[in-house]
Formats: sequence, C-alpha cells, structure tokens
Amino acid sequence: MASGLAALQARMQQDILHRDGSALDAIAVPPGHRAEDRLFVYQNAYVARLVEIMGKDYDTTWTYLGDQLFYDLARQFIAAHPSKTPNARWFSHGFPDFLAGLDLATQNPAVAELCAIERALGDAFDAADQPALSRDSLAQIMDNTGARLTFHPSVALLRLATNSYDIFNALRADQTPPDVIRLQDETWVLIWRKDLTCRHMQLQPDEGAVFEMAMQGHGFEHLCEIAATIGPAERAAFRMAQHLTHWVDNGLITQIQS
Amino acid sequence: MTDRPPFLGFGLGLRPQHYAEILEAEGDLPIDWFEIISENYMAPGGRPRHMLDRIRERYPVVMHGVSMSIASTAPLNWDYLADLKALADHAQPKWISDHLCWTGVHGVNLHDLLPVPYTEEALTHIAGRIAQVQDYLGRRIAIENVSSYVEFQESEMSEWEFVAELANRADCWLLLDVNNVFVSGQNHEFDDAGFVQAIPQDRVVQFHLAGHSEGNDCLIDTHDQPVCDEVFALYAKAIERFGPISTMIERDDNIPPLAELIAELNRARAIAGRILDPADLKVT
Repeated sequence: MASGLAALQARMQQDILHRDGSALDAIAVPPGHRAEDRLFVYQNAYVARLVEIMGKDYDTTWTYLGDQLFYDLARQFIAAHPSKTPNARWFSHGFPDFLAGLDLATQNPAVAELCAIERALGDAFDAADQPALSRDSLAQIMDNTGARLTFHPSVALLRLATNSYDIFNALRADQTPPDVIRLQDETWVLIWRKDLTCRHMQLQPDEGAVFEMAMQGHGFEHLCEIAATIGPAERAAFRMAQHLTHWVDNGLITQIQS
Repeated sequence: MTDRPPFLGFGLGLRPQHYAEILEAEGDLPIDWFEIISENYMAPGGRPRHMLDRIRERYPVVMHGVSMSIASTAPLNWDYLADLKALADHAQPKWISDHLCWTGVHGVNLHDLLPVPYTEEALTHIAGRIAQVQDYLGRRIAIENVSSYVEFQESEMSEWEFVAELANRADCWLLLDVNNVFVSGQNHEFDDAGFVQAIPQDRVVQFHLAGHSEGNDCLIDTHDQPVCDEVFALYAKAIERFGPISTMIERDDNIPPLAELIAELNRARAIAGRILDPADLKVT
C-alpha cells in the first residue's frame, strides 16, 4: 500500500463526497485560481453524473415525480448509497427499495412500484441470452407431472398493490396518469425480453399466481393443483394448458427439468 | 518494439444511437474501426452484445474501459478484471485501454477519472499494478492521459515526465488523448505541444480526439462538442511526431448524426494525409 498516495486519495474522495475541504491544502492550481473552484468540478460531476444515470434508468419515474422531486430523491439515494460497483449501470439498483422505505411511500405507494417496473425492464435489457422452447415442448411438460420450468433469465414477476402499471403505461404513452389507487387484490406484471426487445404485460390473477409458483420451482402437477384452487377445478387442466401455451409463445420458458 | 498493434486508420466510438445506421449502411462506411466502452458490453446478453457481435463481423474493434482504477490504492478489482478478460476473449479487440486515474477507494466508486500526484511513490505503485493487469490479461494494455482540473502540491515532476516514465517502467502502451492534453494544458497553464514532444514515440498506439466545454474556472472534458480547431492543430503536431497512429473521435453526449462525426473524422484523416506519405496511412 502506497501510504502517502492512499492518504491523498482518501482525502480527495472525502472532499468529493462531503464537500468538507479535506483535500484543499493538497491541491495546486495556477496563480489567480482557487482550489475550491477546481475541486467543485469533481464534486459537482459526481452527483450530476449519477443523477443523469438514474434519470435514464428511471425516466418514467422522473416524469411522474417531476424534475425537482426526482432530483431531490436521487440525491438522497446517492448520499445514502455511494456507488460500490465498477459499472455505473448497476449502481442505482436499490433505488426502488430506497423509495419504498421513505415517507413518500405512505403518501404515494405507486412511486416505488413504478420505479421497480423500470428496474425490471433495465435488468431484462441485458440479461443473459438463452434460447426459448417452442410449442413442440408443450406435450413434454403436460405429460410429465413433475416437470419444473426454467424461465428466461430476463423474466421478472412483480406483484403490485397499486395501479402503478396503469400509471406507467399512461406516462409511456404521454398521457395524463390516473390518480393512485390501492387495488383490492394485488396484481401481477410480467417483464421479460424477447427478440432483443423488453416486454411487459399484466397477468390475470390466476395466471399470475401459478406463474409465481412456477418461478419458485413447483412442478407441473402442483401448478395444476394451485390452478384448481383458484377457479373451477374441472377446468384447471384446460387453463394450465392455456397458460403454458401463453408462456411458450412469449418465449418465457427455456428449459424443462424432470 | 515487438507486438506493436497495427495501424487501424480512423475510427469512432461505438454508440447505441448509431447502431442501426452502421449496420444498415449499404457498403462500408468511411470508418475504419470502432472503439467500445468495455463496461457497456460487460453484461451477459441482450442488445449490446448482439450489436457488438454484428459490428465485429465488419469492423475491427478496440476496448476502452473507465473502471480499472489502475492508480487507486484500493486493491485491484479481480472480479472486474475477470469480466474484462471474458469480454476480450469474446470480442477479440486489437487492444485494451483504460485511464491513468483512480475512481475511488474504500469500496466506493466515484465514477470519475481522478488525477494522481506525479510522484515517485505513485509511479512505483501504478507501474506495479499495470504489470499485474498485463500479466493477468496476457497482453500489454494502453494507458490514457486524462483531463484534470487540479494538480497536487506533492507532485515531483510534470505530467508528461510521469506518463513517459510510467510507460517505460510498466512496459505498456499509451493512448494519447489529444483533447485531454489540450484541456489540461489550458487548466494548468503548461505547453501542450511540449507535452506531446515528451511522450516516447514507440509507446503510443492510439490517439483520442474529443470536444470539451468551458466551465466557470477551467475547461471541462465533456465529450459533448465537436473537436475544436486548437485540438486539431495539436493533433497535427502529434501526427508529425508519432506518424500513423490509429485515431478516433469520442462523443458521449449531445450525440450528433453519424454523418457529422464522419465529417469530423475526415478532417482528422485529411490532416494526417497532409503530413504523412499515403503509403504510411495504409491500414494494416
């Protein structure tokens, strides 16, 4: 460890993060210039760069909150969670959870959910590639009661307590978003990538429930049992066949494990 | 010097805004190669890797990173280096570069290219880390001079003396960012042409050209403007000193249509063409 260099870097980082003058006496600037002004370039760039990245990652949330509130919340997040990842792409991954922990979440519980939708879309964007199974695989699943499904690495299932998905869709369509309401029953939104394009859709309650169980690794027979408890038992097998077809056609399933 | 990378000609930084135009162009564009930001392609899949693969089929690629933090006193991030190596194995770049800077200590990443004091201690420290990285990657890397807004009281030598000595001690290549020389020269009131003259000729494998902005008290390396006349003039001096060196334009913000960047690139090509023999500019 280079001790003088280590001390200097620690002081400069402290000054960039906290603007406390820690590094001022180590700085050299040409005559007529002030060390404070030059350090400010780094201090300002640190916050501005990270806010800019968050604005791109969560642009719908930004639109919903407006410039000032989004900027204030982003700054609070940056102060509370300095980046620890070498790739700035990942640094704001905790922003939805951070928002969910604020008083804001009590006033408007849709904000954190809206942000979570955007995070899932961002994750889906560059998740690993895996070939999806075709309809030819359907029989293999339905003939194997213990079959467990592996989903595409981009797949995320969000369970939402508000109409945040309607708000998201309205904002993406440049329309005025609806007022926030808490749903009587939670709803599921599925996010994934197909053919390099990120996609999202709302699942009906019965499909969402079995999809969640399937993602947790439950076998096909158990999924049919779950489906039978949600709707008419005599139509459970038919509905499961419909769900499976829906999932396969959307490129969601990549593997069947016996 | 053995295993010197080839002269690739005149390239651009690959940006998503231009993917379609590059891939849908009829015939070859007047762009000889592309530089990718390594971190943008260190994800496991999706559109970035797909586009990279398609562009690699038609153009040589080099990798340019922003997160190696080679000058940090924090331990080298071996997970990052493993990802970098995996990407290099996949993308087969002509070379890999990163910056003469640190990005954070104590587990924090400031996502900035922070300058170092030009001291013997820093030289020894950074040269040792470059050697470790080169051993791990199994190849020499190119190190780029950064734009800076501060210098340090404890510096014992000039930036150009530091860069030259570092390249020799670490046995690495250099990526000479002409805009960064200009910006730092203005900010610290040194002679930018003298900087260029002090850099060892046999170490430089790539030039960067970029635009900058005027801050309140100094020039800022923003990459959001066209390359200015003064930087092109300094580029001409660099070509005079170093000869045919692979040259590219970096644009990271306020990104214009591809045609505008090609026009800028053609200006660099014309400057090199006026100074060098056409045979020297043949892409190898």
